[in-house]
Amino acid sequence: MKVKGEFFKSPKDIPQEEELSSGAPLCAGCGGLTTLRLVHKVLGEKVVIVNAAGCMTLMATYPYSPIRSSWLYTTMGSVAAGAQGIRDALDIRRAKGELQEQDDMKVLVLAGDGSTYDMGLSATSAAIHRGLDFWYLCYDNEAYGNTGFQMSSSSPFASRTTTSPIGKEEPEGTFQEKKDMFEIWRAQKPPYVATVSSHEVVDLAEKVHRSLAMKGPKLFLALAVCPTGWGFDPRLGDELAHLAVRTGIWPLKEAVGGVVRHTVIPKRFLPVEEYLRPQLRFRHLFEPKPHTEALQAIQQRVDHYWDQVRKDEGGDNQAQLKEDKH
Amino acid sequence: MVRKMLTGNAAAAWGARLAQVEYVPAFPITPQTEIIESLAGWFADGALTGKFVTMDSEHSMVTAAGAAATTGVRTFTATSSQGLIYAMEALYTVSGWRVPFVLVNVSRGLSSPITLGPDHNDVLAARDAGFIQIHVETCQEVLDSVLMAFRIAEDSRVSLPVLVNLDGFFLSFTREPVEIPNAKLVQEFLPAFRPHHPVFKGSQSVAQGVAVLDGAAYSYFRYQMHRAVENALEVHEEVAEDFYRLFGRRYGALEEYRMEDAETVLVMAGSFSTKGKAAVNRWRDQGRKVGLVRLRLIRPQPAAELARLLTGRKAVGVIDQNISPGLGGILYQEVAGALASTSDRPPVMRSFVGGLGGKDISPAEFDRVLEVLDEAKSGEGHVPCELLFTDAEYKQVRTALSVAGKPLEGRAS
Amino acid sequence: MISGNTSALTIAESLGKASALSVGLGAAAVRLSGLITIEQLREAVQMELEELGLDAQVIEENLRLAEEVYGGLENVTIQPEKVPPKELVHEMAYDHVLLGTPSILAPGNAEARQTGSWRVERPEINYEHCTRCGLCFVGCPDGAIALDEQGYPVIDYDHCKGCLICLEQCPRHSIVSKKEVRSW
Repeated sequence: MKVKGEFFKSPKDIPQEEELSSGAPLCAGCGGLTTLRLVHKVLGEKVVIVNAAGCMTLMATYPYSPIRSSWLYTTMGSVAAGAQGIRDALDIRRAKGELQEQDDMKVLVLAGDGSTYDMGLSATSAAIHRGLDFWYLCYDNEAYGNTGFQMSSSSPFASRTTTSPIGKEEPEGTFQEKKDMFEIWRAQKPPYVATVSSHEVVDLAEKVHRSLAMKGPKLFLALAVCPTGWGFDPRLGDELAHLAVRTGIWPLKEAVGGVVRHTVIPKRFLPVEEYLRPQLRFRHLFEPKPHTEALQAIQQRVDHYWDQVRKDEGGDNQAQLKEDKH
Repeated sequence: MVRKMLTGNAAAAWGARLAQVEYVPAFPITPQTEIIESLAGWFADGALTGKFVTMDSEHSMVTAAGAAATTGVRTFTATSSQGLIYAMEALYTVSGWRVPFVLVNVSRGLSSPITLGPDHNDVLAARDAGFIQIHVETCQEVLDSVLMAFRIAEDSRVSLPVLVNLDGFFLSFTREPVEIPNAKLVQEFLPAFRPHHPVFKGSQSVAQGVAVLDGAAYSYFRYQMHRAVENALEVHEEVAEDFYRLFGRRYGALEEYRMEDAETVLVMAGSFSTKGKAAVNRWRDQGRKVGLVRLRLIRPQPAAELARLLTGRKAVGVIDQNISPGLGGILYQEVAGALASTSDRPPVMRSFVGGLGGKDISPAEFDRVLEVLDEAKSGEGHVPCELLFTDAEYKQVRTALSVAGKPLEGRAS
Repeated sequence: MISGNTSALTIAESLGKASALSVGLGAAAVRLSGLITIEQLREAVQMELEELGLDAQVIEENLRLAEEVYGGLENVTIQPEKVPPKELVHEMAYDHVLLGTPSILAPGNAEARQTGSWRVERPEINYEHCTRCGLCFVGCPDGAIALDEQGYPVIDYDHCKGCLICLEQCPRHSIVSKKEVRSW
């Protein structure tokens, strides 16, 4: 099931205008870059990107920048405060007649999971609390990627990172569960919270477009496939993004005014192994012998999540979900 | 012109008000809070237009201040102590953007142990952050320096944030008569903010604060910042001249006090300089040729002026209201550095540390300084810094140790 | 430079990864330095790759590559110059803040960076079977695929990094990959 797009019906509707030039010094096959590129297309050209320390910081490396809009690198912990300063200043200048409407800009925070889930969370929570009118794009590759893939509080259970390695005492690697950033944001009642996938481009574009009319904090939490950190051939990037959705591991949803609905629900849920197996960070779950307990735990959590969705969400989705049960 | 009895905090707020600041990101911390409370009130009742916003931390506050300045609005903020060092990363970050705004720091000793009284370890921790630093002595100087700070910050030869430092309690909560300049004259002195750096606007994209991975380019930008801070010396002089012309009060990068024929010189910074001046007066009455130099501009360091004032004197004692563990007084090192290559440098130079955490520097302690300088031998080599601390205070500390249940016997080392 | 008919690129391709080149280049560098023995090289490669968690077989192939490159190069002795050449020291004046700030006033200029040189494999579109669905255009991380006036995708080889996501995405399998033949 896919929620029908009002503005975007097919990939052909994605604007052809590129807001980013080619030549970004990011890894080949970077899912975060795909996501930013698509989000930016829908936001349009008048954007100032406020960046937190992470992989994307290397986008603008002096003297080159692929960003045709504006850019400000801040810090890892205060990116949302940087957005606050810019938004407030734009509002002040608008109110004083110093800045014409055509010179106004959308403020887009661009941060990885390290900043979003860990160091920058306090500043972000405060910005949501203040009702800051901004877009927040988190390219979530589930670890500190730019420093070589260390565990963040977004790293999923049983994934291997360089600081949650596999050992006799810790056969799962990461033994914590990933923080639920969608719900953390939703708890503060911002107008819009969504998860997106670089594979489901129509869903992504539709969500960004829907948010354009909303004033206040708007989150786009994107699973950013990461060939370098996750350990897979870059050519499989889109396929993995797809598998994350088809296995139910990465639910695509939105919360408008706090009310949640799922926007893409697989016809048939694939077993989580399909998504986990191709990635080096999960290889210890399959080799040298299957780590059945961990695999079952992951599957059960996914099943439990969707069972809960079936209970919570009414209407068309509910009928669909019953039918699609894995 | 109006004269009012104002605290140092109120004077800082009045400075910001007269500068018609448009944006104030804020966060409370003792002993600074009164500044932001006053400003919040003025934004609330319309005396100031723009926005006052309470942030979640000083780290966020300084980031927001820098980002707003980058977008072209006149920005003011204030903090103290732990707040300043909590913002340390952001201080370095926003100065790198080369954007002007004014940050008032109300000096307070650093934790641990956590304390409230003033000393200068907080502000001197930020001395390499690329901010201009002005250290003031009186409440009047607080207000005047905030106005001057905007002029310096917004000058194209500088385009950097300026930090104005006043001592907690001794200035922040102490009322002194303060002349509030006429608003029209202030406008003449400080016209509306016209940014020289690139500003964010929809029709003209710019990437600010980008990563610079090439060492040569990095060196270039860092050295340019150094040059910009250096330029503030010349700019300060021009601004001070304009200020004198309009308001009749003159400020130098350094303040000389009874220096004309001084053989022995005290060097100090901040409000405790007033105590130093009182000691100088007392000694002068006794026929001693003693003077005082107050360091007003800490960054840029007015090194040439400092050397001009101190060469040829017999003895110099620097009283630092801070301590760098393992080194001693920080400003002593800076003064000594400014004199290092002069040919006629004072044969006696001594470092004293006093007034930590707001502890008084008593007349007896000043007398001790003079005694040490009198007895010191020419070319004696390195002598560690001396702590200004009385027997009575030591007794008091011992009593408190006993109250705290500490074993006092046999614990000398 | 390299003996026989083996090139570093050929060996690297047999390993299937552009990153294997770094082992070959490292081997060449240590050979030219003249300071490191083949045993030390072997040990260093082994340790580096083990830390990356690579399979024993892959490590073995990399070791073979390192040895071939090391053995295939002439022993060149580089004599350091006794007196360093004179260089002028620049006295740096203050520049206007527009210059002296790490800002970029020509956004989008990253186009000048030819990331196409990263490519090991080259995607090529077979236009006979292309249905102009646009999936390769939307899915390219680098925006290196544009649509022409008729809606056909065109690859910008100056910037295509060769991730081959387009090849995998293409529903009609109209994109194939070819070995990159340009010289390095």
